[in-house]
Amino acid sequence: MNDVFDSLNTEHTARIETELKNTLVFEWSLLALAATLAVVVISWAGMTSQLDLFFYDTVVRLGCHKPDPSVLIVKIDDNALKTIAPWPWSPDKHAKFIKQLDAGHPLEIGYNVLFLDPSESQATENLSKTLKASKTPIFLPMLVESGNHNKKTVAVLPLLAPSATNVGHVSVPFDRDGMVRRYWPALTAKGRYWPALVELMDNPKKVYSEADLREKLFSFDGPRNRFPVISAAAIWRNEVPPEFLTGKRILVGVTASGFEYLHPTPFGVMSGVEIQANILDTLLHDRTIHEASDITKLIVALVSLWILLIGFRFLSPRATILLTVTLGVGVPLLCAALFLFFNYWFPPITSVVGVAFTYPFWAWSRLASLSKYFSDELEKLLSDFPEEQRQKLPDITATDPLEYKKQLLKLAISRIVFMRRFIADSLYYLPDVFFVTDKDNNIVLLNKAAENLTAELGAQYHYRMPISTILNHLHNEEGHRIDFDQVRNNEINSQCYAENGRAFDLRIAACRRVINQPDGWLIMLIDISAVKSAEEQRQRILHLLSHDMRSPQISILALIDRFSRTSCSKEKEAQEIITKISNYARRTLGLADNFTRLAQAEAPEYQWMDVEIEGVMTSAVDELWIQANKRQIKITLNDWEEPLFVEGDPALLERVFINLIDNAVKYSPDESTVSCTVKKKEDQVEIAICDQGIGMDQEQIEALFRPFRRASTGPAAKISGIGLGLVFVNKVILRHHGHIDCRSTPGKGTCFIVTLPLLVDPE
Amino acid sequence: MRIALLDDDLETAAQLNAILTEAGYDCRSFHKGYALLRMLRSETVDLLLLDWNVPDFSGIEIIEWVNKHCDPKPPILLSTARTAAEDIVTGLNAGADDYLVKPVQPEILLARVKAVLRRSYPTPPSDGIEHYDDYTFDVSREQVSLGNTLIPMTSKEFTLSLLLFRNLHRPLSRGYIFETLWGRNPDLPTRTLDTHISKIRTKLNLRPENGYRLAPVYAYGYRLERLAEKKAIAAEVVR
Repeated sequence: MNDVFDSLNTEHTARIETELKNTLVFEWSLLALAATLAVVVISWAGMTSQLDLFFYDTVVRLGCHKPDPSVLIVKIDDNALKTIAPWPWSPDKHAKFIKQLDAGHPLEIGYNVLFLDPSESQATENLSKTLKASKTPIFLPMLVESGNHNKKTVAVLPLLAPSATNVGHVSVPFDRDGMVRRYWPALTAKGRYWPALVELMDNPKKVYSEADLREKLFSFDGPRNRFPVISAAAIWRNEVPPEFLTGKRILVGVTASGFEYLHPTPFGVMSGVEIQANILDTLLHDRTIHEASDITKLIVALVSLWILLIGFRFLSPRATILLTVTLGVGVPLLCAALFLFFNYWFPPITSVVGVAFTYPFWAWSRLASLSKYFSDELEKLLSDFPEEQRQKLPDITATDPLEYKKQLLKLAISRIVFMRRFIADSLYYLPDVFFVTDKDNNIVLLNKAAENLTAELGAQYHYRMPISTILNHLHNEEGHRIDFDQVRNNEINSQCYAENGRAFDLRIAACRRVINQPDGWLIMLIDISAVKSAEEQRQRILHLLSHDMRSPQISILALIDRFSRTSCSKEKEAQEIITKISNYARRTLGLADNFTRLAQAEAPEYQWMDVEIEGVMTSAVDELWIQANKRQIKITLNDWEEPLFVEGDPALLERVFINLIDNAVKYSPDESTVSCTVKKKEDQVEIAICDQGIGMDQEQIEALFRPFRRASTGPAAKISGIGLGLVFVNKVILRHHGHIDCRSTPGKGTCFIVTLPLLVDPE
Repeated sequence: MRIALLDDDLETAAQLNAILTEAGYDCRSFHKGYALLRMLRSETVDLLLLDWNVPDFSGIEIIEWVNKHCDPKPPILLSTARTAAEDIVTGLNAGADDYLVKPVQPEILLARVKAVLRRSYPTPPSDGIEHYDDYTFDVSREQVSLGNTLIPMTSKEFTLSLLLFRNLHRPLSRGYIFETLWGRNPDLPTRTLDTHISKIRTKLNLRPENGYRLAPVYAYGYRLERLAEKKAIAAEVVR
């Protein structure tokens, strides 16, 4: 039985899923539209840039590089100011210091000190000469004023610019959070490109274009003090061997407190010179970071969003969660990997935000629609209950939606429990014996009547007991045991009997979920003992009437016949008495015959065959010829063209017409005519039997077909006979699917019109 | 002719005995089945008139016994108080030659007895012309005439008419008539017979006013009956 419900359940669940999916299409579309719009707006407005920068810093801190060994920072620190001179130095001090550096034969020098003071022209001249005489290329910085990006850049060139190898800018842009992460490869001022100082140190011959004006991300080698640093004081005092400087790219910068330029970076605050060193290192190793364009960012964000949205439509809730997590974590991880291994950066936070915010909305709308579906279904279920049962259950009082749903569910469950119990109880107390078996013919369910029967038959019930154990106690009409397999395969209803005389109608139906494969059987035993005994009673009465009641009458008639052959019968008085006795005996005989025929007409089985109307009618007319002839009554039968066939029992049909003609003859005056007319009317045959007798009024006609009733008033009252004849006629005609009609005019005659359906010609 | 009569009802047996003896038959009555059978072991009879129900033997059982033990088998007439068609058919199928429904009318009894005896012990065939009342059958020419009028007929109708007249009062089963007329031909619809019966009834005017009745025996076949002599009918009408 469980299998039965399982298949039903699966079907039902599938239906709910489909319905749920359909209702969610609208929500999904709405969510997809809203999320897409949100992502576009977030991306366009750069709402997530802070978070992106934060993520960038985190990733940057993961990737540290070994600084290029050729890069050397020479710092003019507090110690140098104490040793050499207070800041600012005079050009002579600079000249001497540069000479000292040059003596070490470094590769190049980035002298990140601005010479802007126009005084001391002699000393400046001196410095200019020193610069020109230097064997090492020396790059000097320029001042960029109002470095509001590169549009209004004004380069203030150092006085010594013409003496230096080249001049470059050392400005760096600040991100929105005020941190330094980028540099300008070049700026424009006075109609030309001004490359960055470190660009010059990396490649002095590089040609610049418009594209180089855009700021670029550089990579940090790591936290502060990754580069080797020498104090200017040490060089001044010749504490550093000149070979130490050979082949180095020296960046000179001020780090003395009060004169130092400090900038915040992802690795904390850094001095300007150290930042320049990091940029230089980036350039030397081609580690410039390529940054994704805004369009790319948007596309990536939208693609990841739509992967998730499509996942919502087709994946299970569990898979959707997995997808969300994969996207939320995977996109940043991919970004980090691209950054660390390919120096490519795109900010993932827009994607993450899009994915992370869409999922809860989806989960919520799913839940909301599921909840709505449940409420709807529950309300439907509850409204389906019959009115009288609804009243037995409490009403819902809650106003809070959640509480309302809770009560709804509680109510539905209690109703279903009630319903189940109601059905189970109804089945259990069903008056007929009822068994349910599984497909192996073992009883899995039975009702009270079945339990009683089982006990009555002397069997001991236990669960999954074979049904044959019960049926073996029953036998059919031939006395054979009931074979369940045999009756089951035919699915026929058969009668069977118990030892104690009870009779049952055995009905079997297959319980089919799948065609051709019964899941079980429903077996019903309907007690027909009463019907059976009534049938037997009927048979006994029929026998009594047809034989036992007739026999004495026949004996009387035989006696009279024998007596009439003797000489005593010649006396007139005796003759009269004998005739009277004979008439009474014949009437009693007729009575018995009428009862017998009525019983036959009411018998459950007829002998159906093709009946030709002419044969039946002729026979009926011939049967009454003698009787009619005695009173000079003519019985006529019309001619018709084709043979007419009806389906029926010919003996009973003949008796019907004999009764009708007999009636007509009885109620006709002497020397009149009884006419029988057969007519074909479409698919029916109409047989009219008309007399020229005394006729009847409407009341008499209505009373005609009731048993034990005959025309009892007027001249008809003296005619012998009994109303049973017409009851028989009516019964037989009805059983032949025909009908009988009576038309009569008092004083003129009566017509009985019988209509029978014609047999459809099979040829 | 010797007739053995079996009926457990003494009055009926006495009545039948009186009618038959009056008509000149040698009639012996029995009231018990076994007494009849004991007699049949040692004696020969020309006709058996059996009641359907006697206490010790059913009519069927006696017919079966006779079929098995008597050679030549005497013709059998069943008399029964039953009117149900199936009982009569059962008797005919078991081997009875005809039946009578009680109460018995003397004229009918005599007509049936006479017909059965004539069929069973026929007179040698004449010159091919057979007379039945006003009907004359010329067998070789397949012609039949009523009085002096020749009645046109097909060959099948002639054969059927002759069959019915030769077996007057004897119920003929549909199967028997079918085979005699058409041989073993399963293709013909059974209605064909009804149609032929209907035709000869009309052509030969086999109706009570002409002294004959062609009656159906339901679920069995047909029987041609010759009603009591015209004179008798006329007498009855007068009475």
